[in-house]
Amino acid sequence: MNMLEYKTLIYEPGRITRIINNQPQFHNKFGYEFQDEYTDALKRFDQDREAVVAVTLAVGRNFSAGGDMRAYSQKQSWDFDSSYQYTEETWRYEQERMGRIFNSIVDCRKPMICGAQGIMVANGMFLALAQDITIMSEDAFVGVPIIRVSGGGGGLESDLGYRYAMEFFSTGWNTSAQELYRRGIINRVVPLAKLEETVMKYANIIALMPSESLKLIKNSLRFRAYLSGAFETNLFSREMNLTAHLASEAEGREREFYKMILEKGMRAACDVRDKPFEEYGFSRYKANEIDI
Amino acid sequence: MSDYKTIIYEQGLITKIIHNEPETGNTFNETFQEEYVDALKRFEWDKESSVALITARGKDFCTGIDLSRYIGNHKEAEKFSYYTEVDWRYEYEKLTSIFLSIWDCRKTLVCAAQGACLDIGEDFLLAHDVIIMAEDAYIGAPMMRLSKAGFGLLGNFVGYRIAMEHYLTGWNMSSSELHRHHAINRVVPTEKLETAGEKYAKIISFMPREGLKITKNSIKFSINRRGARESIIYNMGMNIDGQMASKYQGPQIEFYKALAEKGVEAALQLRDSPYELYGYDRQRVTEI
Repeated sequence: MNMLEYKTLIYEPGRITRIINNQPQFHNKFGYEFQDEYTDALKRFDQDREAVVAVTLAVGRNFSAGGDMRAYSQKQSWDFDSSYQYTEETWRYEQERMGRIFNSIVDCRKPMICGAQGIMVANGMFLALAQDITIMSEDAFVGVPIIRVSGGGGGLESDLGYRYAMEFFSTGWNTSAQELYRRGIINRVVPLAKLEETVMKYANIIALMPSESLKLIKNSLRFRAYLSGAFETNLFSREMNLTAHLASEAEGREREFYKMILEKGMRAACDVRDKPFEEYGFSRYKANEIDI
Repeated sequence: MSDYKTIIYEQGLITKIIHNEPETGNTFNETFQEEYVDALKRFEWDKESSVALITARGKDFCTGIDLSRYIGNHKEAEKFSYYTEVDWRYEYEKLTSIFLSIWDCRKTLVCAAQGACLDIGEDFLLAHDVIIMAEDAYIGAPMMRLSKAGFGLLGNFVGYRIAMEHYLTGWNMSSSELHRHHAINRVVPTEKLETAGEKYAKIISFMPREGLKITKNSIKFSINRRGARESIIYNMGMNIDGQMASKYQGPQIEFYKALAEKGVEAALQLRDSPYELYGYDRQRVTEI
């Protein structure tokens, strides 16, 4: 793949390499095309002898609204009377694909910084939290509301702590950038207007360091994370996701959700999904606490 | 060994080990390393001792390696350009065994630290069990700007991204920030540091002696199961790789050359001035 061919992102090589998700009209969705291009861009950065540190940013209001749900709904008939097109094999393909991209992020030998704003949902959240240094704007929040329909989630226990991870994935609630900072999960929260400037300052400082040492420092800290099971947890989470998708067939909830996207649109489907939770204070457009 | 030059050893139910080189910033020099390991062994095998309280005299707890030995000493400063992998392995195997002797000590080690805890001094501090820090205390890893060096112990106690930022920038981190991340037990006003350390040691000494060892054993099992001890050993290899790579990167050789020719201040200035543009100050804690 040539960098000129990238459709979803802008790749700016250099000592500080910038990789910018450029699909603001789709809220920087985490679709197949972006997955392939981001993986390719990372490989390019990792093998570029001049490049020391990568910065990942996104154009527009939201960092990433997660998977391309419309693509799922168009591929599948979601008809009660017809057989499923998404078999165990198809879901496995999806999960393996996802596994490849996240492995390419965590295995990248050089440091990666991310500046994220607005909404980071599901895989959009994992993209921001797979990075080495994460800076968020004041309006940013993460969430996995899709887990109310299906999916196994997990994979962030070492970041969130056991009980908070349980709350997060068992309710599909959103968590603000400030709360992530309070828990020591991200490095900094800054006003939206200063997000890019702050990220570039971090990148400039890191670019001053000896490049081989940077790789060794990362290697050393990753080693510790892997000994704690971080890598295996990711693999296992994807297996759990696969199992959850298959289990959801019996419940019918996932089928209903994607059928509604196809027939009535995304907003109507999300409304049905989130309504029972809204009674307890949930809003998918912001991070708020569970009403007590 | 009983005639210690760098430390004061006060034996008792609470054994006090005091680093006593305030005039040099309590550097982690070779004599101190040997004496500290010896003192720890003595404490560990002393059947009367329950807990050790580790402190340091003067303004700073530990300012890292002893840079003064290189001033005017061109031969010593140039050694980094001809050191082989075997030479570096010798240096780091020695340091690793020191850290493992602290990490593996069966009895409780309480540490009270003030001022700067830099580079290997930061790892030295974080290797202990209960840590009280003064309000003015901070850790920092600015030598990372020359080469990968150190045992990365911070990674055991704070989240991945926080540890990455600390080591990838060499920035200072305050005692209150360490407390916010649950990496230390308490932050107290500087004038209350010694009393606070003694109070913690006193309370711990009330506990059943064998119970203390077993409790530590159990908690160490948990942290080691998550890779803490393996990481110390793995970091030894990473440090050797880092030193070998630094031969070709320049800043380390330039640094020691400046140290030999122009002294500590000039060398530190050379190392830190690019970072100062972004708000770094090696004497205190600043935000990026």
